[in-house]
Amino acid sequence: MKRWADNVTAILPERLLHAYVDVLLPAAKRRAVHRALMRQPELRETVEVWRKQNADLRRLALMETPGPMPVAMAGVTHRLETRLCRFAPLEGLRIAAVIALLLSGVAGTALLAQAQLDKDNTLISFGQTAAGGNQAITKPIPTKPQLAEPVAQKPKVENVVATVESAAEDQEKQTDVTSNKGGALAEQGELPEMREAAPETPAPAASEQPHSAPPVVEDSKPAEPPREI
Amino acid sequence: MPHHKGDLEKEIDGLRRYARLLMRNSTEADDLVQDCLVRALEKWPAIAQVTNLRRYLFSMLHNLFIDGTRKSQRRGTVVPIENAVNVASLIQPEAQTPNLELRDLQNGLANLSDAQREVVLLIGLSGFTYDEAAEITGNPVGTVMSRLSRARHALREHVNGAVIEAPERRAR
Repeated sequence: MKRWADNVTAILPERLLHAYVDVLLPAAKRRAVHRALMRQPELRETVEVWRKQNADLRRLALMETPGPMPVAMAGVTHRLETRLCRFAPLEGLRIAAVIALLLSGVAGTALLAQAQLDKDNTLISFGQTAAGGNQAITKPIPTKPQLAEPVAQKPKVENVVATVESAAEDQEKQTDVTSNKGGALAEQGELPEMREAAPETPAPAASEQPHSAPPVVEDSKPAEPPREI
Repeated sequence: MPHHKGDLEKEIDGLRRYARLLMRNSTEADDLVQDCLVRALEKWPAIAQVTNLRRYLFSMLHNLFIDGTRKSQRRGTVVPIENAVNVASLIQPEAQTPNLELRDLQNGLANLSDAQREVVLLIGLSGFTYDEAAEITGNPVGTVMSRLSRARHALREHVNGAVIEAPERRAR
């Protein structure tokens, strides 16, 4: 089996020559190309010209480069240092702020735990005082209906029934008195027409006409007899 | 491992050499490097974390160069009076560069296109690999290789022909 170096033919690819000139080939390939170039003086001359071009480019660059560096470019390092120094305090401040936040959080948590354990803590008493003041402030003010006289209680059903019964009894008594009065007058002969009607006139129900005047008074007047023409 | 400010300062000389041969104007080259450094400073906390600071700076310089080329194509090239004097001095190349071969090479570089000159300088001068040059210029490796081949052949023909021409930048 032939190696890659043995396969290098008489016509070398140009990319290999460029890579050989620019020293970009591995050692094995470089040796193979070198051996092939030994057999081809034309290609070797081309390679030498390209090598000389590279060397002349470096020489030309060295000739072209002026000595002193411009002030603006020389200040690049200083500007970079200034830039870094300008941001350095900000970094420190940021770290300090984070640490302060963490410490305040820890301290707040510890204070809260201590306040919960200690009932006589100032914070608790202050909170209680504040709560008492709040209650005093929020105590309801007496309203107008409370200042007025109390509303009379509604009568109970028993009281209403008793009132109605007593009223009925009073009405009965009054009716009895009236009927007895009419009866007495009839007995005395002052009301002869009513002697017969009186017993027929029923006594009104006390519940129906409790306050109406007894019709006995009107009926007690003697009816005028029809005049004779 | 993050880079330090000293690493940035070490790259300034390489950037200036590359920019001088690329721009062919010392003032514009220094302005280009200055812009590159300013941009690097603006992004320093992020740039300090990159793996290859040198490649990153050259890539930044390449982008700034492309932006400037496009702007100059739109606005036209402004040549200050100081540079006009330098252009006049190119008529006497012996006074500028004592070495004729270097003068021919300089003229040959000026006759290359920007893309070809950029690739030749990145690989031949700054020593970047083909992959790195492809990353810096944002092109495939094959494109970089073909541009390198054309540029080297053109430089060889120019030096062998010994034709001294006034440097004239080709369109990209």
